[in-house]
Amino acid sequence: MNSNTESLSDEELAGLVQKGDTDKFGVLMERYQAKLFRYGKKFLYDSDNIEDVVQDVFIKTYQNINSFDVNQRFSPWIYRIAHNTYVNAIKKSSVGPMYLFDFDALVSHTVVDDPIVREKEQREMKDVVDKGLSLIEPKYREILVLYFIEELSYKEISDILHIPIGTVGVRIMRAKEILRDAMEKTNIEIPKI
Amino acid sequence: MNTENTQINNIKDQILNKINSGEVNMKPKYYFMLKLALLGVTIFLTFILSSIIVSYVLFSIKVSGQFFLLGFGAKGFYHFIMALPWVILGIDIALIIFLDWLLKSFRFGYNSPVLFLFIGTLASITLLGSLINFTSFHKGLLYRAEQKNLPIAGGFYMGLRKSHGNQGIFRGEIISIEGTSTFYMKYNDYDSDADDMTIEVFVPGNTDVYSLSLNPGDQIFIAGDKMSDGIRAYGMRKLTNEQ
Repeated sequence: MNSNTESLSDEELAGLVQKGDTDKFGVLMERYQAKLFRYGKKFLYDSDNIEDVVQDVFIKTYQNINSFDVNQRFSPWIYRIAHNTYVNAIKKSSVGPMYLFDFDALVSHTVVDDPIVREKEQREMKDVVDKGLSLIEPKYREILVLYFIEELSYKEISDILHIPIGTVGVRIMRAKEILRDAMEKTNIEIPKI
Repeated sequence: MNTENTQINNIKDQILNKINSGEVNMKPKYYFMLKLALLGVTIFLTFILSSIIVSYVLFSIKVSGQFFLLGFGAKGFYHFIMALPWVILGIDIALIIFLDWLLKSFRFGYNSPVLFLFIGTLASITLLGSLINFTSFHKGLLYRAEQKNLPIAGGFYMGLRKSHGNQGIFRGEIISIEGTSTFYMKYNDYDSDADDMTIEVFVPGNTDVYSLSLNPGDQIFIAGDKMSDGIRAYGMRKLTNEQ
């Protein structure tokens, strides 16, 4: 990666790929593959073909790059593709639908996404969440991965999961409670969350 | 960590090879524009169809005289609810749910709580449906249907100004008034067939026929129960020319 490319934003790189500079897609892959690997590994958990799934994400990203609006942020856009691909992978490997109707998205919820509080909570909770992820269902596991491991904001998670921002806050809260209960049942030591 | 880095580099190289060999291609911009246009047209058509259905339901309630039932106490309210076109309303609710699902493709759609989005689309559709009723759209179709000149949607309009005995709704023309508590009525269901007949109507308990300013020749709407000797009414209203 030369210094000229390094100074370009994801959105600028995506714009160049749209214009036919396919080499720049390699730079985008370098920037996102570690994140998408981590997201996939934590979300899919017991999947042994994570490599194929991540490869699928990048292929879909390239195929659909012309639908990306360079005035928007690239990160939630590629995470959205990853989310859809991972959900399909889970659907293929398990019985029954992953997401039934989400009652948390029925009405509005007031939440405050304070960056200082978020940073502190994300730092404190990261290891705890990592330990207990396998104990909870994918719907709650995913939101904890996006918030605590990938350190995304409520707004970014809302754009990835296509749910209202208020619902993001409520689902994170519920996921923490479920994680706490699951960890208590399995006698895993947990700090106050 | 090293294994992960190797995996990562492998994926990158594999994908770039696929792109360079033409095995993986990006979809052209017009493909997405066409997709967006198709989505827009589907949303527009669903919205219009749903509004027309709502306007039809409002029109049918008005023209059939069904809304009179609301003024006839608890029994009238019960029959009003039972007589609503539930299948059509069910189809419209399904269309609204489909419309909301389509709107979820846009940021304002998925950022809105499901209930608020549903109420918002329902309110917009009801508003447009009410505005359609200010035009002669349904009136024209009703007249054409009654002239047997509306082959496709005629069935929706033909029965609107008929009696529906099973729902306790009767419409007809007063033939003669007999004393203070009964009159004779002729069914007038606009189809001039064998079920047109004259029937005796018993007015509600404490009502005097003369106090209702009824005259032979008046078109009347009756809510009541059909017995072997006639109709025992619990509510009546004179119909206007449009009804």
